[in-house]
Amino acid sequence: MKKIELLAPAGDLEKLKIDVLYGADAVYIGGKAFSLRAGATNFTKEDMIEGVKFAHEHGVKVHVTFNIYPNDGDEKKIDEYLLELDEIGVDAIIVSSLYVINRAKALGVHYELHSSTQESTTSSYAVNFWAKQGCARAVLGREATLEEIKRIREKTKTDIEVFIHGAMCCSVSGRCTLSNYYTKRDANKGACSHPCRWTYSLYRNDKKVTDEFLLGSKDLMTVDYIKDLIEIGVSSLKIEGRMKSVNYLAHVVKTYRKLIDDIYDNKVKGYEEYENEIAQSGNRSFTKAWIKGYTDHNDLIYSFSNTPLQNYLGMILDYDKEKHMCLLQAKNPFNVGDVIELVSFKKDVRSFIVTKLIDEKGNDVQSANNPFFTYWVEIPYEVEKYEILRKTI
Amino acid sequence: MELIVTISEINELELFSNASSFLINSKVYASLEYKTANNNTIFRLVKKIKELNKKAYILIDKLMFDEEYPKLISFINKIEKEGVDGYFFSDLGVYELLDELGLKDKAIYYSQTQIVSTMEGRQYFSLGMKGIFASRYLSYEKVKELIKDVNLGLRIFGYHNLFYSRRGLLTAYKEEFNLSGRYDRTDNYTIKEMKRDVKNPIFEDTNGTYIFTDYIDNHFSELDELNSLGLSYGLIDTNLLDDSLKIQLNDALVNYSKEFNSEKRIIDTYKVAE
Repeated sequence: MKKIELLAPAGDLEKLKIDVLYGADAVYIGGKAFSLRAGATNFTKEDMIEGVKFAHEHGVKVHVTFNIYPNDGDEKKIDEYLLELDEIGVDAIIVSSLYVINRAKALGVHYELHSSTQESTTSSYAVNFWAKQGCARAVLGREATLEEIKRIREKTKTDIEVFIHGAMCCSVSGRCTLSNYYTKRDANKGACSHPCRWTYSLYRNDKKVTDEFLLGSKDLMTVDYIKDLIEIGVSSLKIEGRMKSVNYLAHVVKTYRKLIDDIYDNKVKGYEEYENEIAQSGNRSFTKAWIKGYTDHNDLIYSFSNTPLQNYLGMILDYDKEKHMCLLQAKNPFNVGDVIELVSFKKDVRSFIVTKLIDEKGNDVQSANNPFFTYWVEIPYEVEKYEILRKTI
Repeated sequence: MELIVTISEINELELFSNASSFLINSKVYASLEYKTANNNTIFRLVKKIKELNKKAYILIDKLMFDEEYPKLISFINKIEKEGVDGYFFSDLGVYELLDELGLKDKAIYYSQTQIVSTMEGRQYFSLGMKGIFASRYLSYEKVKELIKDVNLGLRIFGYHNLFYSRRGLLTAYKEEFNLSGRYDRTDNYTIKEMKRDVKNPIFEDTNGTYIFTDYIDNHFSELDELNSLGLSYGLIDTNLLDDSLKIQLNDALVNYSKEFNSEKRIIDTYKVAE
């Protein structure tokens, strides 16, 4: 049986490498043009070439987001970009525009076409529409419940991709123009200003009900539905977050990788350990959203008072095997004597006590308290670049 | 150009006596249930509209799920016998169904955000659809460019739907804070963003929650120009409008009255990002 794909977001080359090393089967990235995350660093052509090479060397596929609705006058650039992606050797593009789909077919590109979640595909009829246009895969709208996904799977042979984790639009993705209205920033050109995360006053018959009315959804987390999605026959499980941090990607990708492998190996005894690991990725509250069959007040955000976890200590840049020291790009402070944890690509999380810290000037120090500085940290395990250290919570 | 007025009740045929085409808000298949017609009313409306030698369209613009399609197929097969002129859809799954039923020449793509260029419009026309609407958030200049090249339709009057969520956001708020009294659709709810002066209507029904512009999007004064450029359909959305405005609207339909411009226009203030 073909194993389900774990598809992870990468906002830049470093994050692509993190995804690959922590266990993604495929990554999705955006180029400098025609991608829906204008705020992400995104990939230059050179980055993309290096990223595809790195991913393919590790048996990982690269999908490129091309999911804006382009303007008239973009025709030449679109053709050039579609051919450039083919030359680079990407495995798929994620598209919304029928024009782009038809141009890709006309140009005879070799990669697959995947219809974007922007199209809010929630039925087998809609999946079949995109399949007839030439899409090998449809990314479903986040409004589809598990039962609805199952019905789609039963009635179509086209690959389907389902969001399993990350931030959610509270609205139907492709139908929201709040950002355009409030800020003239076009959500469908990658510039959403996220008005669903703002605070509003609510009035009933012109009488104020509250000054704290929110529209936002909690983040999606579906560890206890992955087995169902595998059994249904979903092709790909997608993690949201091209603008998310290295720490987020490492924890989320590693955890879902382990969960998927454990499901196939029949080793899952409960979901608490996976949920706890994901909780290390940040202090956001979670929801199962539509996948459980309904949503209610428990799925929505009513307060933005969450404080940052600050458990992420930094990413390892180098390792001196002889001295048992790793070079850390520090993010949050820690001290000699603290018990901290190593998050490796493939091994379980391991704890150790910090016994020695050396700063950039070569001085022994008691604290790594300058974020963005580098420190040499004595560590009792062999480590690799891109593994991370965190505090024990 | 064909001007189409949304309706949901028999008496609106009289209220909009100057209209020659009607789009019927289906209770089952329209995304917004503000005022809708159940299937019996739809059959009566279509029959009556056809007796008046006018055109009848059905609005099917909600997100559609597989379990809803068998009933939709049955509905279309029956209403087809009454001579329906077309089906407005937003979910491309509905187009796929119409194609399967041999009705793609009655499919009108009531696009939400997708049709922002002539090249995109042409692709959808090449599928054999009867009509295609421009996206909801384009500048007037952009709309003119598009219409000139591909004969799109446009919402020419009505509150502009900014946000559609499948979630019941007002009910959820009441549940979260244990507020007394159920959410009541007959109340008028609005939201106001802290730093802005405008209040936006917010409405919840069984399909979800909607947020609208604080003003009516009104293109009546540009109708002559739009018509000369090749606008195929002008849609007048009567949702959330009060009855006195509906009477004025009917009067305006006689000669596309240029004076009918009572609210500020979206086209001056609302430009698509480049």
